[in-house]
Amino acid sequence: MEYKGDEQPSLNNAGQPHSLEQMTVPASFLPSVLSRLGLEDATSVSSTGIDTQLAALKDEEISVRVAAVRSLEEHREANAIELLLAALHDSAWEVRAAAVWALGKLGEQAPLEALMRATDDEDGSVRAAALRTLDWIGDRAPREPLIRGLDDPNWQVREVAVLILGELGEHAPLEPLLAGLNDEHAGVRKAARLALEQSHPETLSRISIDPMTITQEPGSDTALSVREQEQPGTGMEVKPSLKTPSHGDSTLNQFTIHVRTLLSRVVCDVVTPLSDARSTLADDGMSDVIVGEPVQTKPRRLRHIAEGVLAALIIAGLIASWLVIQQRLHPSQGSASTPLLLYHGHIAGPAVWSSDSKYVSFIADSTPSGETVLVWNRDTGQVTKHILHSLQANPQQNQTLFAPDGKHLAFVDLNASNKVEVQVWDIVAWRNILTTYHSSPSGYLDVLWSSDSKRFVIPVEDGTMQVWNVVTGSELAACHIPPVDGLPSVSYLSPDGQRVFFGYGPQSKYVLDLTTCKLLILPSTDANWVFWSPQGDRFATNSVTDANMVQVWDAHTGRNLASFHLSAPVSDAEVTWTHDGTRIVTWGDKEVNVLDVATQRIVLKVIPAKIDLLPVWALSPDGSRIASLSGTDTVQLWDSVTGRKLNVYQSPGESLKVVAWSPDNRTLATGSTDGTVRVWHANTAPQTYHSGSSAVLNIVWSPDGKSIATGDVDGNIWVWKVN
Amino acid sequence: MDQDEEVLLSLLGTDLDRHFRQLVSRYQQRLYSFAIRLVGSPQDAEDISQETFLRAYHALKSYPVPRVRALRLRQWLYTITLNIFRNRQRKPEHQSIPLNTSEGSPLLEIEDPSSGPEEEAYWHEMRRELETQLASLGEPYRIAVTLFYFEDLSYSEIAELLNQPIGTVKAHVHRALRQLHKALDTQKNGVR
Repeated sequence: MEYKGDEQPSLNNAGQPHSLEQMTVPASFLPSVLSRLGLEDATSVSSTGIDTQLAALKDEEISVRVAAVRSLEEHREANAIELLLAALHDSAWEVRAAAVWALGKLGEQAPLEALMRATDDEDGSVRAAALRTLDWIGDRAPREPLIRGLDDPNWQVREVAVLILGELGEHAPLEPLLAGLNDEHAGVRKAARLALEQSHPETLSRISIDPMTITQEPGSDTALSVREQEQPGTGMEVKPSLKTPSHGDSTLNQFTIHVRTLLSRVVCDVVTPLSDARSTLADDGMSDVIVGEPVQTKPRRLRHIAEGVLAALIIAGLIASWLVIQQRLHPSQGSASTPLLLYHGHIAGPAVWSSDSKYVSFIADSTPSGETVLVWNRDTGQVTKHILHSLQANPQQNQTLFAPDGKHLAFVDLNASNKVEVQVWDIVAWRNILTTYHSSPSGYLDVLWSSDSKRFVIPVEDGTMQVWNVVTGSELAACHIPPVDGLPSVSYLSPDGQRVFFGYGPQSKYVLDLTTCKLLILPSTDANWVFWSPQGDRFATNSVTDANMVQVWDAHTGRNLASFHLSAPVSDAEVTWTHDGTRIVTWGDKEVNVLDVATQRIVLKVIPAKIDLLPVWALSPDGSRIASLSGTDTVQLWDSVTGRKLNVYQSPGESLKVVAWSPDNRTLATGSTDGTVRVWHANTAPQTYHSGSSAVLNIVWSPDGKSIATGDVDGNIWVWKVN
Repeated sequence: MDQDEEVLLSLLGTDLDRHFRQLVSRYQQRLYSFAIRLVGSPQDAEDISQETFLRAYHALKSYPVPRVRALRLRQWLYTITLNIFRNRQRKPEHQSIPLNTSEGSPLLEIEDPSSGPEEEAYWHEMRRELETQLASLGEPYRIAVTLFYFEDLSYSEIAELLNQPIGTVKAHVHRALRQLHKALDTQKNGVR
């Protein structure tokens, strides 16, 4: 039986699939919308005769009633006001809204009381329209509804109220506009900024602050209400990184191509390594472990058997036992045809090597009652299986995060008391070494492991950033962070575990020193992803609003060190630092750029020879080499300093999907859709491994470079020895 | 913001009634297909996307020109669509139904000129399975993954649109992918 989420859409009433026509907007759509707005000629009501207007206002069709209201607005018949006032009580909000606009057009003659009442209409669009029309009336209209509108439950009403207040210029009340900057809805915040620019530009510039440092003692409750100003254009000039043609023109062909192309993207990501993804539920019988050869068996004791047969079996048993012992002590060294480990299961995400290369861990065979963690010991060849019991029998709610050392994991789940529980486990000894509990209304928490795996950081919704020591099990620090509803939207721990970059939106970005709890407020960055340098003293960001922009920042001062505007968009999460922290390498669908931070120069641009599918790039661990795949049978190697093409590897007829550098930067492993894995070294023939016929999804080198673990699309894990 | 959109916003700022038709023409298919992924039913999708345009018209009418010109139309329209969708979800009569994932769906029959038959068969199978599983995702996951992949919005844009922390959005997309992977994996192994 398959586990599914608790919000399953039902099947359609007829039990039939939808046709393509149903996916395409009906031809009547546009006329219908225009008609309901009274913008369609066909629905216009004759201007002659009040009786006709009256009849039209009582018509069953909303579009006819709207058209009648618009006709009254245009032709200003005698008694028009009375009819429009009656229309304010129409059951359809579209008619009431149209009546409000029509009455507002009367300007000085507009009925103030009626419009004031309309600001309390049950529909938000009508209330917003009423606020705007009161503005048209001028000084005769009181400001009270506007101030009330600032607290309206509908964000569009709040937005309009803020905008109208801004139009009052220097007479606009400052407080409500400043409050609008902290509104829960981005649309209102933007409107407040626009309104302040218009009415109180000096105030806005005063609260736009430069990078500064605030020292916060642990335990203090300093509230930071000041928000930085967005960079010019931030939030306004989005340049979406569309990789597919627009289907705005609604033609069937374009639409279907669009869907198809995007689906390819989803497929790519679904079958792309997910670091903490888990696999399907399955009964135990579906999983099978093969560790080298021969298969491990236990000799059976033979009793009450004839002497001759007994002797023969004893001999056979002794031989079998010897083979098993040999296997456990000296597992297969692996050859091009024999894997060290083959796990037929339902594994998602790549395997995780321990830092000493002795263990491979992976999550498999999830069930509603929990997750299964499997640990393979490379020395003994044994596989041990452990269960992480789900706290609410709901696997989609929990997550398992392996520590970088591959020997610890954090299991995060919402427990029955509605607390988020973080359980830290020693994978090798299989021991729960620490459990922490946190309030989190969203039911979700980020756990950030330090690179040495000795501690982890949790941003908590109570406004603290907690640091926990895995070795001692104690809380090292709880730094207070600016209190904002909800979790930080982004949080990235520096490799040395000393600082964390976090933020709540484009306005609020911080770097917190976890030792001193010193908080550095950054200038508005519109950062989308953050990439710490290996030294932890600077970080690179790519931009929300400009996909071609990459910037580098000093983590101590918040100073902008470099800004690069590239000729092609940079993919999310595709920025890598070279080991010495002097250069960054950015990846996109079209090109790779190597950027020198000190000189702010693009020192190298790499464009693959052929792009059939989106290219795959890999930077060697020391940053000296780049490998590129582009959906063909060819791998190109580049020197990331000189830009020289170093080598080209070809696997004719294969469709390569994955590429992974060895830790020593000298060897490359590739995986293809037919399950072939090849290890390439210099100009020698590649070592070839056949892992079934399923597409290879991921390749992970052991830290000592002696083995590779590969995962395939069927959820199998293979480990091979590399010569 | 592309140039066409900039021009359209400028036109809407100067004469809304005259140019609103262009806005509907430009975004009707996109909003309709977005809505159908949310609710499944073509009728509900049509209702939601029509109401989106009606709400958008009245909002544009109440905005000053600078606000209109500064709009990011696509995201703004999605925000309105989601508001309407959520309001309707509170009413029990609105239910979701899955997309067409049948073998014979013409959506799945288009040749990709850039790949060979083997490649094509592989992706074809993956897509078909994916379509099936996509429709069965829970609402927050379906919305997040639809906006991220089908509507091509970034995490930050989705976070802003849904008024959620970006971490939540990432988590939803991530978990949606995990569920999809899990489901595809299950299907491939014939476990269910």
